[in-house]
Amino acid sequence: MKPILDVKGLTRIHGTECPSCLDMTGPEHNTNVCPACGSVVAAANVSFSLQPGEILGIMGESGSGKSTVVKTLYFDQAPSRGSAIFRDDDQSHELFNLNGAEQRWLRNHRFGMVYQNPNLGLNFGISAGGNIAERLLMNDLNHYGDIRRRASELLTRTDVMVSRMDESPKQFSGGMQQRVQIAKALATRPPLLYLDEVTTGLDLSVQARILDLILEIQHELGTAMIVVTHDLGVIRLLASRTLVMKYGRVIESGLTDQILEDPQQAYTQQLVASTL
Amino acid sequence: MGYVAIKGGEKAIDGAAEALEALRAGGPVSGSEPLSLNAIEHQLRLLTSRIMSEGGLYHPQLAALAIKQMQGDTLEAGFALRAYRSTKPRLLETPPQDTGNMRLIRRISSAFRDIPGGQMLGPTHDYALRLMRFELAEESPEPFRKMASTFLKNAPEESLPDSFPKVLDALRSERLLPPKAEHRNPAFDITRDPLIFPVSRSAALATMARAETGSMLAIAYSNMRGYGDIHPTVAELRVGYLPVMLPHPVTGELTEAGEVLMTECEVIAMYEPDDTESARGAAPEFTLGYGACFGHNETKAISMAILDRALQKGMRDGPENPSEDPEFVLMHIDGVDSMGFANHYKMPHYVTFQSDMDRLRSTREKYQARGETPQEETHES
Amino acid sequence: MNPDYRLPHSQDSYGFGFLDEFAKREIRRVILKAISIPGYQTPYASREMPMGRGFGTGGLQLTLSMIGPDDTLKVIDQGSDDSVNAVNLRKFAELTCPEVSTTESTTEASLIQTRHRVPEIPLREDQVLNLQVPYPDPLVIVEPSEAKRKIMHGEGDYARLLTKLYEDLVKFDEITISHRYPTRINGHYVIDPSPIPRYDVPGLHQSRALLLFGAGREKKIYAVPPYTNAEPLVFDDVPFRTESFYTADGQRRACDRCGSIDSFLDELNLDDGSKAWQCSDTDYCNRQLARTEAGEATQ
Repeated sequence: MKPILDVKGLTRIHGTECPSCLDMTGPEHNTNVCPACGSVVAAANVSFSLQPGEILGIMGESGSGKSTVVKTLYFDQAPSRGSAIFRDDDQSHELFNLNGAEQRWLRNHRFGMVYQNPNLGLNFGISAGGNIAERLLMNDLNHYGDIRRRASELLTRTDVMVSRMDESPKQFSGGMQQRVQIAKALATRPPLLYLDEVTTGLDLSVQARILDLILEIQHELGTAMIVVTHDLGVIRLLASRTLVMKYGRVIESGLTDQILEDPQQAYTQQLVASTL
Repeated sequence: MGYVAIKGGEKAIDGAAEALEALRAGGPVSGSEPLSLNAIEHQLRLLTSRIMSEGGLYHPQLAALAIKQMQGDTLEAGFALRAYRSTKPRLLETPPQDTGNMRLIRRISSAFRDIPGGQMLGPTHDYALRLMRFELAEESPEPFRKMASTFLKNAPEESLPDSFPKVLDALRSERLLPPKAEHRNPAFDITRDPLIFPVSRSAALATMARAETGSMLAIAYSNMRGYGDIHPTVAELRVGYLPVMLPHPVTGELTEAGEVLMTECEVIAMYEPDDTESARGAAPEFTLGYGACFGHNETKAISMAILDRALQKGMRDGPENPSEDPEFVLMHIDGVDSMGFANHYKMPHYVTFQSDMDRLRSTREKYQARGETPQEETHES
Repeated sequence: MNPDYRLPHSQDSYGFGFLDEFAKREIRRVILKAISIPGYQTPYASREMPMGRGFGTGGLQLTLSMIGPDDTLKVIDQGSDDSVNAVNLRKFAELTCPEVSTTESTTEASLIQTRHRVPEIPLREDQVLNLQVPYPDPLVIVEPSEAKRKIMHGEGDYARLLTKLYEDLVKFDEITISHRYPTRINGHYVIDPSPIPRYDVPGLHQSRALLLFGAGREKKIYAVPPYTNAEPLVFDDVPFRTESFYTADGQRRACDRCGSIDSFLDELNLDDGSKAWQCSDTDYCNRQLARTEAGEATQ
């Protein structure tokens, strides 16, 4: 089976960029700020592939570049260079060569995103159901009754009380807001879902229920996912393969079990040791 | 039921015009003399200035007429000038004019104590005490005329300088400011092309040059107070007569066709990090804001210079404050647009209000059908 | 200034149609573009007119740039030829277009300028309706930035507008948009049809006359060409509803003047505290009245 996503050489540099940027930053230099020009190397030469239905983990501390990777793939940011091929049924798209309209189409129809901050993923000015309706309307579902039905199915599936469907998500708890975000992301049954620190800041019991939900969805719908987190527990539970990032570079990658049992890099060893 | 007349609009309009005209003449009790255009143009010179600049037409006599006709309403007077201008074709375009050639009546710099050519305070209210001068209430004509005619009479011709070097040139020679652009794109003509965002700086400057003074001051002031951080220093503010150079219709040679009174303001703001491609590797420099308008209107020129600087920042990095957002600023500073629309609410809206009532009634019927009574009806009185 | 300069002594310097010929030509070019892209808000350099922005400067620029001596012009506001603003605009047209005849009859007019209403009598192929527009963009209620709205229009992305309708239905069980009802033209662009009541929206669909929309202050011109689809934005299972003129017991109200039961009515509050209902379209009302009286006379 061909990978659903092939990412090669993905690089994102904030600032003026000079020839030294890549040579003078990274884990061996202990910085992602170029000493020559002051540019920030958020991600450099990130390459990986993702199989349909697979969950890939990207782990690292804040500033490691892990969020940058999903933000470029979801078109929130443009990469400085690199390529990403998305295979959708029998079509394949070179994501960074698409025009703005094509990118927005993929975003609205074929990708889902769940942000750490629900403010970014949800419109608090409208109801929880309205948030889901908007995504369904983008997909040309134009029947009010069907939209109501589908929105309540999705909220039921993500354990949000349907009786609260017509309230603004502003009034919801953090865990519930994440469930609404997940329901919204799943509305179009996308083959690819990005999850950016979705459980960070939530109570442990709430975290556990959301992680269960994500696993169930993967089993039911076969959705491929990229899970970005600094939390080893999330990686352990969800991801079959993992990339470890530091200062914008992938420093270690492989099967999650292997990385957790036998980390090769000193940094990964330290991460694993600190949580065991 | 009674039949409601649907005639009468024409008569009402004629009546309104008559009443307006009677009040323009001072009404039945004032005993006023008609205002002369000469008095308006010269004695209410700041008002005339403002009307020419907001009307976008340099024509002091027409501006004075507009003020007289509109009974002193600045928005209406500027509007009348604009509407007059709509009937005139554009015959010629001037090349860029050099304000270094201005014949100045006032120029100051707050950046340096001394500037080449010197500071010249000129006619300004800046340091005048705003005390009511009751003697002006009853002014006799002779001393009034004498004041005007004897001013500068004893000043030797050679002590009256013609033009002054620009303060910014000194900073440019020290490389503290970016050099003047070598290549200029043709100026954007807002009277011939619509603003389609994002717009060029030229389009923004043209829009501001004929904007309503108060509207522009309000948005610029928001930036000064903290909804923005330009922190400007006035490098130079100059007021004077700019010779208008036009290509001669036969020879093509630049020829002076006349002069216009203008106010120009250049502000300097602090340097800041610049991530754009073109700035790569360049040393930091001060940044500039530019304001200029017809007539003598310093508040407007300063506001415009600050907004120009704020908008350049917003165009480059994305707006962080209203004053840095080109669409927000440029769409809300035109006096003709905003005043017209505010006043249009006085026109009949019977049909749309009928629609509004229909929606409210249907919605209330549904409330009642569901057994919920709209709130105000449950109040005990 | 030249000391010998004197202001002109009369208004003779105003040419036919007030605007200078370059301006008229530009507006005609923009009209052609607007017709070619049905529903697209075509930007133009709107000129200042001698009446306030919001009083019909957009509609008037359309009218003045296309009117010729052979035209017959009708101007209405709220359906009435004699409302103050209609009178004012008609007087201005008479002043600046001396050879043009004006009329209050819908059928005699070749060119009709209107604010807030579409005439009750269906228009013909040889007629043009110029509608005055205060807010050209229906997306403004969900997106304040024009730059972003242009992208949404280009991609036919009206999901956020439909979400507003969804939210209305959730909160009120009714779509609360009363007038300026968003209408999709030729299957793509959604327009603000100007503040006409919902009652007039079905009349835009497959109209035989050319419909032009002019927004002077917002500097846009758009068009619904003849025989073009114009469909109000609704859900498949929630029908579009026009204003109801039915009484509580299901009776269609009639015009108290002409007796018509198939026109848009103005609700009038009389001095004695009672209400009256009357056709908003005065030409239509006069016709109905004449017909009734003629009928009575022959009996």
